[in-house]
Amino acid sequence: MTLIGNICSSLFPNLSGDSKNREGVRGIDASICFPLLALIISAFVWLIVATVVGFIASIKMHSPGFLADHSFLTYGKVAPIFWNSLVYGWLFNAGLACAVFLLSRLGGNNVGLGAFLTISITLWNTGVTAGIIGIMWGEQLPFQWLEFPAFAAPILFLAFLGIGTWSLLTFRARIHRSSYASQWWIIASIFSFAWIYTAAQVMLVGTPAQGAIQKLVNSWYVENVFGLFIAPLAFATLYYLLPKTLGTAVVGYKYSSWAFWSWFLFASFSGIADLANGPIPAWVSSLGVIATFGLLIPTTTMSIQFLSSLFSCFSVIWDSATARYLFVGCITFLLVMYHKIFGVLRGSLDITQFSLYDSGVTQLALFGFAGMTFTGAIYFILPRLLNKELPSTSLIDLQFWSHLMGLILVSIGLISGGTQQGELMNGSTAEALVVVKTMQSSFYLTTIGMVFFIIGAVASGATYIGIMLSTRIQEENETSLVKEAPELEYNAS
Amino acid sequence: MSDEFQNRDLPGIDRSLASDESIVKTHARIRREPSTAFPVLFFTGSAVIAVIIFSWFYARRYLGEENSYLHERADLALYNDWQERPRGPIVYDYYAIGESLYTKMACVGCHQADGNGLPGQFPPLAGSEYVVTEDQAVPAKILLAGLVGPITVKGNEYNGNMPAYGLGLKDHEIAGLVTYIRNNWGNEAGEVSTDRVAAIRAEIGVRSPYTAEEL
Amino acid sequence: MNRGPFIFLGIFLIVATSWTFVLFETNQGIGNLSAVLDEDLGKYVPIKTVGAAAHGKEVYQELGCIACHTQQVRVASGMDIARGWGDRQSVARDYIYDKRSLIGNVRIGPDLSNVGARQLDRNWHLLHFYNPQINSQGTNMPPYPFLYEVREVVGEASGNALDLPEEFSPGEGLEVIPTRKAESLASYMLSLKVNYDLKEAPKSNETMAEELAVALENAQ
Repeated sequence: MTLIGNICSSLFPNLSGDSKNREGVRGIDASICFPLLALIISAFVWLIVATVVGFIASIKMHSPGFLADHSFLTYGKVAPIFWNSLVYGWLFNAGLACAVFLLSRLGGNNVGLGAFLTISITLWNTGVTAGIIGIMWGEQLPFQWLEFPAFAAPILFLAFLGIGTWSLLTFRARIHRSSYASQWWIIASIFSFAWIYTAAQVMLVGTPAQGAIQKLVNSWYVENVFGLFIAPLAFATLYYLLPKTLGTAVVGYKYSSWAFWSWFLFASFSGIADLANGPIPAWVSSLGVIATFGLLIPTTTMSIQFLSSLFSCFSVIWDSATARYLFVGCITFLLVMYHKIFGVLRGSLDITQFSLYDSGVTQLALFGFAGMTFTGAIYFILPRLLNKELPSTSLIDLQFWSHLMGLILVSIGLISGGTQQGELMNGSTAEALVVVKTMQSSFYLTTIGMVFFIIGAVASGATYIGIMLSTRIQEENETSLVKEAPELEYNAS
Repeated sequence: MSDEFQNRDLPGIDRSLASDESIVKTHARIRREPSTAFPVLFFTGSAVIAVIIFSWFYARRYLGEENSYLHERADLALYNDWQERPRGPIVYDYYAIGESLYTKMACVGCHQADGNGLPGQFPPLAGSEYVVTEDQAVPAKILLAGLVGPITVKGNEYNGNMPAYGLGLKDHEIAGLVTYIRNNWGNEAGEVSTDRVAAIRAEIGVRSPYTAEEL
Repeated sequence: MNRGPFIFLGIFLIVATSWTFVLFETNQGIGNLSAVLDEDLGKYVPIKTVGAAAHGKEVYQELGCIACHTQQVRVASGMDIARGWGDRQSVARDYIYDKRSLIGNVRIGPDLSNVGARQLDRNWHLLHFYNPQINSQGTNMPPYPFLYEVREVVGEASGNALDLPEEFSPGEGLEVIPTRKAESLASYMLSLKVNYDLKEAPKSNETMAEELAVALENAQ
């Protein structure tokens, strides 16, 4: 009974104390409380699903007989389930949680319509679930990150339309005349995903193009999901949370709009670079390589902006639960872009094409850059949403270090293992069987890394459950729990 | 509980060190100001130059010709020569060509898949005297120039309009179709070659559709 | 940057440009290909997959084989041709009859575009699917026992029962029969061969130089 009472008091706080303290902000948070919690909880559930399924998949790589007796758990189905629950389940929910929070806070207002947003979120997660069941049932499509059977696409599209509409309405309802970088990145990502998803579904499923063109559409789509949707949401989160947690303006913010436009311009052309030497005319992949190299420009700008800001207040990072995640996120961003840019040049691509190198870089980007950033953001959002403290900072420590450990192991396992695999596959005439045997240690590393991810996920779950179910202590019943934020200091130099 | 707050490393809630409104307004001011934030400008500028140089050299070497599958311009010369190399005489599988064209050109729509046509409307090809006749030119001429007017096939009268395919199909395709209809559905009348069809085509030229009497 | 419509327009232009130049242009160029007459074979190529092999293609897609296998041959890089996985570049025309592209993008196992020309023994494939360890010891390809029925031998062993080695056999008096899906998948494997050349499909530089030299010689 106390638990139910605690949940109710979490969701419907009845705070005493000075009601003027952070009045506007508390009002905004209250109006998005439900949808935001729905997103955060869904994100957590999908994180558990993704890490467990990823664990199963990585075991199957070195012990193929594991759970192979039934058709719905064969590796060919488990692998797409892992990727889809990771991307459309965890990252979409976590990223959109950040987006919803950011748009509301930076706009100084939101459009309400919490029920509409919650319904869209539910529809999205229903679509993802239906898609995963479809894959297990044997209806998968052979397209990377688009394996969901055809019936899932309209559900996901409608749901995204709902979430997108809410976001755009909130952006329109903003009270400040000027807008901030986070808002540009979020709005742009929403537009982009709607368009690339529609284009991909139409050209692959609606009126299918000829075989080789389908491969082209698929590669274009996959890189664009990261480059035009997930990464922008992560950038938006970084732009907002760095000043928030460090108290300094973003260094070199003046060039943010250049970074924004150049990122979108180059990222939208960069996916096709992997098609080198394939059944697609050569100019297409060369264009992709040039565009990927072009990403050096926004990468330079943004990494200097983020890392300068972080290093100017380095000691604060370790005193803050959120800032440490942002720090790892920024470092990982640099690593990922290094791999993407230099991995696509002829010399490297010739070695790593068709190997697990690509999978490793993608997991580094998704678990590391996007994942860490969103996780840190949620630790910032949740206490404010519920006006409660995080229950145990040791759990956060545990989650942080497990996730980091998992990240290191999985990336090293797949990136170096993939490079080794590529050297044998593409540089020698060794049998595929022989190549696989040399990769055993990478597979074991990946499995151990996945275990760390699961530990981290469970730890974050314990935090979420703890914060929702714990009884309010005296301080948490006061509006003064969260102090009013000071004005951002800025000295024009 | 409150002791725990003081002793642990991390706060229960991260303090927010900047209000939302000030974030938006301060950064908007930064964008408007003329100061240059030199380090960012320098490194971004260097990146821009690096990208331009790279793109120039990469495109020169690897942006292959339109729709070519090869990247290296050096390889393209050999590839083009190889594509245009002289070929020996072509050996056709006429029956297979005719079989695929029979469906593709919609012959099956009128003459049906079993070659029996439709009584009163479309004459049969199976066992038809106009198909298996010793003179290979007869079915070839019908295909090339078409056939109109009354015709008796296997004792039945037909009066229709067979369109001409001479302009739409090449010699080897006509030869393929004729070979196919002469050797399918129980017919056994031998192959017809491309050269024969070419000779027939040269002989009849472009003309109006045949009538049954002319054949 | 402060106005929503400005961002909308900018992003729309970027995504539209990307779509046009990458997808639309390429589709115009190589997206409407049809079969061509192969002058050496005398028939139209590529050849459609029909019958049991077509069903096998669906099983291939359903089981997610694309997670580890590609179906494309490269010439300009890698050792695909040296390994015997093909003898020319795979080009767009090879895939025009694929309703769903199975080209793939990761190779844990070998490339399959020519597996029907390398491994012609149907039985090898059936054994391989039942338990890959039988004929590829040490592989990490998973077994597919659910594509087979294990049942009691009634009288004589069935004609299509698998001939399993001792350590993989299900036991005394039991036999393993491939289901329709396993048979179709094996048929599909056998149908995967690229035994025709295409004018636009380059071969390795050495081969092209050789064929060019031979052709020029013969023309004299």
